[in-house]
Amino acid sequence: MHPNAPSGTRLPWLSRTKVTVKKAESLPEDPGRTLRRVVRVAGPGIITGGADNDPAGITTYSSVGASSGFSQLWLLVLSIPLLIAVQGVAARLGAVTKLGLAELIRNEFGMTVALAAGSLLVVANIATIGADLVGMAAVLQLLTGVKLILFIVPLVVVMGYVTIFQNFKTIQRLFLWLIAVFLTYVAAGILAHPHWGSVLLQIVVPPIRLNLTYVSGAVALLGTTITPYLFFWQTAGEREERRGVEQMGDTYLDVTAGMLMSNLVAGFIMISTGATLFAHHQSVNTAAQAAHALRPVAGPAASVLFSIGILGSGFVAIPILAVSTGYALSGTFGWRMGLGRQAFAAPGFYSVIALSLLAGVQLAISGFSPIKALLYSQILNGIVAPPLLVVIILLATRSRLMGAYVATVWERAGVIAAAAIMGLADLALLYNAVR
Amino acid sequence: MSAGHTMREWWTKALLQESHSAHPVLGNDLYVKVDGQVVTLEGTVESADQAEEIEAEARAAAPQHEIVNRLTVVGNDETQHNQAVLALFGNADEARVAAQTVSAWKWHGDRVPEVHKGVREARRRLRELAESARVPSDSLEDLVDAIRNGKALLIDRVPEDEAVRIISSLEGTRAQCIRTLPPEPDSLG
Repeated sequence: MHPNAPSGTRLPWLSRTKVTVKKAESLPEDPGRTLRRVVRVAGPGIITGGADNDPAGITTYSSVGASSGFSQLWLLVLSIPLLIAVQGVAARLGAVTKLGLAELIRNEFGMTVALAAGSLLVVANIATIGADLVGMAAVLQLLTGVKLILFIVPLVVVMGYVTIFQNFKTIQRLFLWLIAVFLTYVAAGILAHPHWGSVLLQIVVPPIRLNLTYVSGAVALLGTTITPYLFFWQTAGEREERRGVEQMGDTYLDVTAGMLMSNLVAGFIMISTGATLFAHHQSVNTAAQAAHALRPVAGPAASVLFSIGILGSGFVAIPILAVSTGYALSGTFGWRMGLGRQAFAAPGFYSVIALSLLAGVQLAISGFSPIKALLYSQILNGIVAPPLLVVIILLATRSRLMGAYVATVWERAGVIAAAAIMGLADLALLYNAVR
Repeated sequence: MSAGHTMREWWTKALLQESHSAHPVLGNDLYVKVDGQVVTLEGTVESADQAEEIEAEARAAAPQHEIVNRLTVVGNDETQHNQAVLALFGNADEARVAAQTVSAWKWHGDRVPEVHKGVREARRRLRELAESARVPSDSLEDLVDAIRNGKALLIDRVPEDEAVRIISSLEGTRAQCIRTLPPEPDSLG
C-alpha cells in the first residue's frame, strides 16, 4: 500500500480492473490475443514507429528502392532488433527515472554536454521539419494542382493548433488513428506487383555491392531509421504515459510493435518503388516525385495511396519533431514541460514547439532546396546519433540512476551495435565526401 | 440523451455556478470551483487515470481557463512501486515553499514532502532510500555535499504514477536540480 494513501476497502473500479486482468491471464492461447494486447498497450512506441517514417524518410526509402531495387531490404530486417533495443532503452529510461532524456543528460553529464546535444538536435529537427513540410505540400500540389507554397502555412497552423492546444491523450489518440494511414503503403506495394520470390531471395541472400550508390543508400537508410529526435520523444512519451516499471512488458510490446510496423512500412515503400521505378530505370529525389512516377507504372491507385501516406506521415512526424525539440530544450534549461500541461502553464516548452514549427516554415518557403534540407538533416542526425547512443547506454547502465532496472545485456549489445554501425556509416559518408 | 451530452451539460452547469455534485459518468463527488480564469477541481476519485480524465474534460469544457487539479486519489494501484523524488534548492526557505506547492498537487493525500538542511539527518535518510531503491549508498553523497554547502534538499517518496506529477510541480519552483531514485522493487502497491 502506498505510504500516504488512506487505508480502507477496495473500490469497485479497482476490483473490476483486477478481475479483468485475471480473466485475461486464464484465457487459452489464441492468435488474436497478442494483437488485442498490442492494441491495448498501444502508445508512445507505436507512435514512434509511425513518426520514424516521416516524409523525409519516405523520400529516402523511395529513392533507395528506385536506385537499388530490393537489394537493400535486408538492412531494414537487420535494423529491427537494433531499433527495438535503442527505443526500448529510451523507454526504460523514461519509465524508471520519470525524467526526460535532456534532464538526465544535464544531471549526469553537465550543462555543456546537454547544450551541445540539444543544439545539434534543434538544428537537425528544424531542417527535417522544413523538408517534411515541403514533402507534404508537394504531394498536395500533385493531388490538387495548386502551388505547393500555398499549403505550407495552413498545414503548420493545423498541426500547431493540435499540438499546442490539445492534451497528450487526445494527441496520442489522433496519432494512433493517423498511423493507420501507413497501411496505404502496404496496398501500394501489393499494387506494384513485385516478384515476391525475388524480394524474399534478396532479403535472405543480400546482393551487397561496394559502389557509391549502394553504400550511400545504406548510410541514408540507417540514418533515417535510427534518429535522435525519436530517443527524446520515446523517453518523454513513456513519462507522460505514466506506465510504471511493472508495466515494462507492455512498454516493450508497444515498442516492438512500433518498430516492426515502422520497418514493415519502409519495406513496402522500397518494394513499391523497387518493383516499378527501379525496373524502369527511373530515379527519384522526393517522395512526391515517387508518387507521381508510380502513376504510369503501377496505376493511379498506387500513386494516390502513396500520396495519402506521405500526408499522414507528415501529420504524425512534424508535431513529434517539434515536441521533441521542446522536450530537449526544456529539459536542458529546467523549464516546465509536457503535453499534459496547458500552453500557459509551460510557456517555454510550448514556445519552443511554436518557434521550431515557424523555423521549419521559414526554411520551407525560403526557396532552400528541400533535397538539400533533407540531406543536411540526415547528415546532422547521423552525426548526432552515435554519441547520443553512447550517452543513452551509459545512462541506462548507471546503477545509481536505474537501480534494479539497468539495461539488460541484449539491450546493451543492441544499442552498442547501433552506435557502431551508425559510426561506421558516418565514416563511410565522410570517406565518400572526401573522395 | 447521450453520455457525452449529459457530461457537457454537467460541466456547463459546474462552470457557471460552483458545483458540488456527482460526475454523471464516473459518479465521483466532485467540487468545481471557478475563480476568475482559474478552475479548481477538488474531491475524490478512484484512480490517477480518472483524475486525469476529469482534468481533460475540464480543459475541454473551459479551454481558456487554467485548470488546477486538486483531486485526491483514494484507491491503491497495486502495480505501482514507491519512488523517491529529490530536489535541491538554494536555501531551506525556497525548499519549504516548494514543499507546500507540491503537497497541493498530490493525488494520494496531501502529506508535505520532507525538507533537509542538516548533513547528518540528510545522509541517514538518503542511505535509507538508497537501500530501498537498491542503488549504491554512496552514490547520493553529492547531494550531502550540496547540503554541506548551504543547499536544502526536498525529498518526496510517492507512488510511481504520482512521481511524474510531483516532478511536474517541482519544475515550476526554484529547484536547481530534480532527480529521482529508481522505483523500490520491494514496495509494490
